[in-house]
Amino acid sequence: MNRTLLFSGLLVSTLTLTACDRVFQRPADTSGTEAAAPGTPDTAEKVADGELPVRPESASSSAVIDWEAARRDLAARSAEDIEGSFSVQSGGDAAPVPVFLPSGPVAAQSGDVAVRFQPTNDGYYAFFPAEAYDIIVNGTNVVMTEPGAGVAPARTMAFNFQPTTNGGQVAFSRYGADYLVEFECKELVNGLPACITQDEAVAFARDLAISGTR
Amino acid sequence: MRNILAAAAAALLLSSIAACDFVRFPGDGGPEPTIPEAPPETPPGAPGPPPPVVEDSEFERPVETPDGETPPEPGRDTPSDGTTPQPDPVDAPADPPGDAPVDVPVSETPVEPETPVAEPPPEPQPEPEPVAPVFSYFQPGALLAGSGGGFPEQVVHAPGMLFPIKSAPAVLQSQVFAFGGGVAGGDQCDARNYGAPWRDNFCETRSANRTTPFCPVARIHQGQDIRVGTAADCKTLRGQKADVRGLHEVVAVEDGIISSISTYTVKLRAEGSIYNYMHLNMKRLAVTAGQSVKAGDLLGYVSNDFGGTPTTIHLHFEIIQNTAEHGWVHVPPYLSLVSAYERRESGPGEQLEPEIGVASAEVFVIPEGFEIIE
Repeated sequence: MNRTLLFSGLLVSTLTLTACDRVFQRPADTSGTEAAAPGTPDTAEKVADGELPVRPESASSSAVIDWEAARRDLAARSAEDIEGSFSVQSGGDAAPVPVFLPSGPVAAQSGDVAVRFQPTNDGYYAFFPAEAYDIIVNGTNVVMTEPGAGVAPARTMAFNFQPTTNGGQVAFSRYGADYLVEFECKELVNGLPACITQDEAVAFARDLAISGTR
Repeated sequence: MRNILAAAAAALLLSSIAACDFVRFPGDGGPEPTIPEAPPETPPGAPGPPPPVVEDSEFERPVETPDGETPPEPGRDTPSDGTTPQPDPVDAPADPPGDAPVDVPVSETPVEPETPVAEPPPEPQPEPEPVAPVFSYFQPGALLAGSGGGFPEQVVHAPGMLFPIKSAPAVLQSQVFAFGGGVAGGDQCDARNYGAPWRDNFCETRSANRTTPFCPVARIHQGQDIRVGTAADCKTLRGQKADVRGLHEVVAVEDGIISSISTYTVKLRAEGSIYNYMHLNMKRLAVTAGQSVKAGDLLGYVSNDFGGTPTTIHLHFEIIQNTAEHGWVHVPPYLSLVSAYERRESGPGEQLEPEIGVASAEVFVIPEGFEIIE
């Protein structure tokens, strides 16, 4: 009887331990099934690994600026031409691209909004408030290149106009730097920013004159 | 001898039960708990609803209320918050029947009766944090059928940029061609808008003659529309006065300067790039023109300001970039936003299979003379 009781106790203990093994193994088995489920996207495995997809990215580079040509052109502007126009600092602390600004006199203020000029790490921007639209002139020496792109086409002297959600913009290049003039309509007409035409926008951009160099 | 053997059997039994407890509560020194993964088949935001159905070929524009809002359309507004209910893995029974400690009758054994059979059950362990929700997205350039021709060969034009929404869930999606838009009709707060997979809408058809070298045709949308939050958030915002809306934070995606603030646009000038944020609550901006900002700084809040012209509550986001090939142009922001959202959520999105030849796909036909503004 005692021996029977003893063996029964040992048997129960063994079965209990076996059940413990099952408790331990079940979560692992279940997760393994989920990971191998058909249709599971590859990204799910990357979630587990904490990895993010690697995608092709554009890379930035700095354009080479023809400062000599810029200084020559600035020097060629007559005193009469420069008089009354917006002046900016030239020299070593100037913006890292030649600065183009309106050649004629500009109002220093429109309403409570003033003219602003701000050098940046890559160039500058200048803000001019006007009646129907605001104007932002941007210059940069940073160029973004897509991976695998071939040799970029040489910049031309063209003024490229694009209508935008806000109004319009004109892009052009000089001295190796790239410029963008943005026109921001203050009101919409029938839901569209129709404050400036292509001819007006391009004419404004053409009238910009070099106003500062290093 | 008999007592010794009986005591040994009892000890073995007790240790077995204790071992079971140890296994059942792995936080007490047992194996590391496994963090349950969200079911990959139906992550939040997927599978999305089919493209909005245009009923009976009618492309009616939503009727606008005086404050520029689109009234809800009966029968199209579902009460859901747009998320697919998911079973909570941590709620699954950890100990199915049969795995509980075996209750062995020991009263007849000669071991000490005061010995506890099993330790009292430990306190329940705190549930592990849910896995950050992933999102799903269609491949770049896969616009809604009939909404225009996209540009599929995209790269990340703004590597490293932050997602423009600080923390709220977001859905990249057409506004014009989704529920509540001018073409699709319906209610902008329809939950299906907020549960849909992301979709590119750069190059989407517009009436104005806007172009970019990255779109196959002219008259296109130059940015990406981003719906933010939930359907409930949408209804909350719609019920608020426009000038007090401040639910979803919009942040600077890069270091830069606020070069301009106009009627419905905030411009962030960064190195070689200009980011346009549109339709913020222009009465509650957190920045001023000329201000320098760091990536992540608050700019304002999502709303629908559009200079008096009605639009849906969303963020319109553009990247104008000085590219080597084209100079300053609008570039596709879709992949940059996908990558930024993945970084924000610390997990990758799921790119859905192309919908080639899906018979059920709705193809929009824009009525002649219909003006698509924004």
